[in-house]
Amino acid sequence: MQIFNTVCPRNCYSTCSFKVKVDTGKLITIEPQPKNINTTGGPCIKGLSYIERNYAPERILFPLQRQNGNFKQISWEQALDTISRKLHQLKNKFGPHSVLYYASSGMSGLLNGVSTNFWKMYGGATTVYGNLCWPAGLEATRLTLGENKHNVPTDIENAKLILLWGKNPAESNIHQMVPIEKAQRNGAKLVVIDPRRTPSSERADMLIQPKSGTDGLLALTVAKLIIEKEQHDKEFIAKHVKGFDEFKASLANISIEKTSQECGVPLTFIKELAEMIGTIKPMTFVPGYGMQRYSNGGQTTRCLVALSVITGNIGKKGACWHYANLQSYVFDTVKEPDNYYPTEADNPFRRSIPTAIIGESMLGTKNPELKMAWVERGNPVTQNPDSNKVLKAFRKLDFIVVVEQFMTDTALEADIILPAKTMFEQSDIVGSYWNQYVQLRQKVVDPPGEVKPETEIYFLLAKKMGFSDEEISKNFPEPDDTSIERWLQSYVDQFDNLSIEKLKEEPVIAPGLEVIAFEDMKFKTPSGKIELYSDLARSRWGINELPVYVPIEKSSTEFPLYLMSPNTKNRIHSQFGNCATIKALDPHPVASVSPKDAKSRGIRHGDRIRVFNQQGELFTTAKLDYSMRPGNVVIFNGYWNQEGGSPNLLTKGRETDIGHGTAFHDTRVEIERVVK
Amino acid sequence: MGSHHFIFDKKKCVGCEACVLACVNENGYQSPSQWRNISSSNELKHPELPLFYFSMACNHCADAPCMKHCPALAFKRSDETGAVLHIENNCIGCKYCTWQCPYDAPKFNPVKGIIEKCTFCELRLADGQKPACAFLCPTGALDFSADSFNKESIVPDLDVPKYPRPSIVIKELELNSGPKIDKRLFDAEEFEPIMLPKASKINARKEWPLVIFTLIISGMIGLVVSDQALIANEYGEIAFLGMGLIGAALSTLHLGRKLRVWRSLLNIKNSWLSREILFFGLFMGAAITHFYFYSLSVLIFAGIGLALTLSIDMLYQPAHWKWKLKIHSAQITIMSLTLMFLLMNWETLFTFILGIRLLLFVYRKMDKKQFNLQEVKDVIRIVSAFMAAIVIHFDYPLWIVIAIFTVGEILDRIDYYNELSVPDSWSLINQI
Repeated sequence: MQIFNTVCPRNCYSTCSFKVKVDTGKLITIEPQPKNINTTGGPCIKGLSYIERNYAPERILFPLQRQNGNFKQISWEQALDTISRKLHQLKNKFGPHSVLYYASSGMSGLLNGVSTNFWKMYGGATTVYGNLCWPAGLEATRLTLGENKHNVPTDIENAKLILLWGKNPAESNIHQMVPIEKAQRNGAKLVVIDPRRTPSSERADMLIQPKSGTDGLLALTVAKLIIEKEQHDKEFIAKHVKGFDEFKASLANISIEKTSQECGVPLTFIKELAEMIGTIKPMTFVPGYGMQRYSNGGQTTRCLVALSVITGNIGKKGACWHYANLQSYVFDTVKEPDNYYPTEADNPFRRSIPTAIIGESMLGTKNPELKMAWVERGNPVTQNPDSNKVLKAFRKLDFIVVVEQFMTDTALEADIILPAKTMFEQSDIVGSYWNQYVQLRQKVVDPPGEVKPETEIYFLLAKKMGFSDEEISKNFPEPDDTSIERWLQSYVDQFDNLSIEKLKEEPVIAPGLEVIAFEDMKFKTPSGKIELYSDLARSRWGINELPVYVPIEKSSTEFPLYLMSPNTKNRIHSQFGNCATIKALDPHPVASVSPKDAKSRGIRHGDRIRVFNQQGELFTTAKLDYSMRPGNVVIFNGYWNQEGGSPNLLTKGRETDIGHGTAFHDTRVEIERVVK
Repeated sequence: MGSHHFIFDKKKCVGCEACVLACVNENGYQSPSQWRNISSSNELKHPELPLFYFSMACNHCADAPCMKHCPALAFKRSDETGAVLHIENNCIGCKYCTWQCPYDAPKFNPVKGIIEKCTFCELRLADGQKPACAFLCPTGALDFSADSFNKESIVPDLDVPKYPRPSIVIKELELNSGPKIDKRLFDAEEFEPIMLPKASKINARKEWPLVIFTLIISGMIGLVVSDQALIANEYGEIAFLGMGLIGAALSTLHLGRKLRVWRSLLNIKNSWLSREILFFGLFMGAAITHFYFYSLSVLIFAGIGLALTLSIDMLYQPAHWKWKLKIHSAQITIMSLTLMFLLMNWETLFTFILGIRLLLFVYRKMDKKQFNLQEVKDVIRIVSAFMAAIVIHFDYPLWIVIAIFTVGEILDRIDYYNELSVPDSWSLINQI
């Protein structure tokens, strides 16, 4: 029996460290790794299902080819040969941009960069720019503070006021509940702002449930009340903030009564919130990743961060804008959100299309038209907006290769499926956007069946394509474990306190970590100050220099309900829902509906309902939620179309105001009972 | 006995279900129900009610009712850890422990036909480690202590339906109200249902062999004690014994492990189920003796019959816990008495007892707000009792009265099963 230290590479805040026990080449158990002080209690339900997931009977273990509508096992030789011939053919006939290379957030690690090397060698490809998640918030934060970083997660314990604005850590970042609980024990107040009542809000002193998309206005109104009462931090503002006067002046037209109406929040609640933020210090402001997924997401985020700025809750113990902490991404030369933007520098290697509008863009791409797609670490058919159009675009292609572990909705569209590794089958280095560690995801078992890691797939494909050995060895590590480690070593060597040996033992604090972010009061904005007034906002994105409230599209009478598609504890996007044990706990897709909306439509708890709008429809089961704000419908993100339907059947391909994010939540629907 | 116990902090549990997965990883895939479960106090999120979660498996009670009442002696106490352990090879799969346990800890595995349950992670304890669920709780809500602890510190809140001294300490919420919210968003009139209906673990459809078995017993006792003329001939005797055989076969049919039926006699000392089987055996033995060897006094049958029906009624008692009135119109002892009065033509007593039972029936229905004359079966039940009570005073042939009477009796007994309810994690949490 051997015990290895490793890290969960999912697209999740917590980035848990854990130990895995291996006996005679088989994973046995998963145990907590207390050396990561943020995740001492061990991983969540998903992390605990890893062993089952690794050995699931449905896992794809061999290359598969679609033949007469069915998938048949083929050899690697056949698979690579077919793909290589196709790639040559397309390049010669239409040019390399006729191939779409699509990768997403399925598994993080430095070796993912190797994939890009292949497509560069190929002569380029069409890729996507933007991101499905957070660029609006990242860009808003960067415009304001200059960088995306925050205090270490445990610093929340020092806060006296915690604002969970649109975040439900009990499900999406369970380990954050531990320092929050400690802070509360030390007398901290907790306020949650969310149209839903969540397990996180249950701990709160107050839950404010605004109308969807109005968060920016609520924040500006609170700012106005704070400033009127002279509760803002004048000294901090004078020293570190650019544009406060303009900001203050821009609030003149805001009326608390109108806000109360527009946001659907009682006056007393707004006043109470303002009083708390104005008087209780230090405050840790924890925004979630939901508000930014509206078309006004960037401006909303700027309005929110303004509250931390004017109260001086930046760069201090217990005080921070706890949005994204990219301090452990020490190896990235271009950090988020910059790497999401289409840059001229990449020409002619890549032609980019927006991921937020991938379906329409794929269909509309000319000169050359798209003929082939290569998908890895992603499931665009259910996870990108407007599933029907994405599906149509994929079905229009001649040839699709999908690298996958399971038969996802995207894999079902493939001509060739290549079996993908799991986190236990190749070593890699993983950072976190929440905690402070650089970590090593260790290879602890050999891949089962004929599974090969992507680096090896590309290595073999490059050989098959006839690239020169010299070029191959420059761009790819050899497939053996030692070569992979050497490849990673070359990154690690840049830092004195990092080594592969050390990383094998435990998570290592990121070099240059600021425990309290911005403690030096240095801000990488053009002015070197915190910018409430940002010229870049105007010049780069064409939005107001100041954080202002931009209402989202009003709901129509035809489709009056706001569709929210938050994450559940049972999945990371479309991963994990297929595990037998998780399925036993969460067997069927449901849509949460408020009793008010249900009753007026004759819908009862447990009824089959149709959820629909101009984009499409899906059929699911109604679940009453008595404490959700009426006017909202919730369908969790990540359901497969195979099991009833991803909420993206209803979302529209649309970018956020800044950062090339995806405005998933700007979606209105209607629901009706399905008469059997 | 050991002093190991769980510690559960309601403040810290967010219902993440990592403990459930931890248990499955440690003890193997559990189907259809996991050994450990998370229940929500407020599934529909009623705005007026607090919302908290509860993680529950076996609490290894000092007075473990599962162990006490198991007819087949399939539980034992571990000397080292104090754990209540289930012995797979002894289990007959009668599910009686699932009725007895107030925490819904024993789980029936329909594939194996036996019960399975939490073991306190015995092997881990022997290794000096906490049970997997407590070890892997991400928020520290579920913990485990091997220290000696004062039994007084056990929260008597868990006293559902009685107090079997569970090995768990509950840390209560300081505020039991949830956050301040804008209640004007919600219209209380729309909050229907308040709670989700849960399918009871027992109902007449699932337990039909037992419904028939108990009805047969009631009929046999009534017959043999009151009107032996009906069975005092060759065919009558064979038919009578045949009924007994069918009853025995049916009661065996509901066991998960039918070949181990003999084990059901092993716990006469404590288990009403063992006693039921014993008295049923004695009753049949007496009948055979009476028919083929030498006549026995009717008092012997009355005595054994009473013991048998009381055993049956006691057997079902743990599933009565939700009832306001602990007496039911279709308890077997009462049913047998009624039939006896009918067959003995004790008209006044018959009418009296049937009248009382009718009142009980109506009261029950009204109390549950289920009294609804559109329910055909309820109407039939009422009419049948009413008619039988009256018709007996007129000069109709006995078989007509019996026929009218029997229809109502069957319906009443079916109703009895449908009203039984066994505590599950969810009902427990709502009791607290």
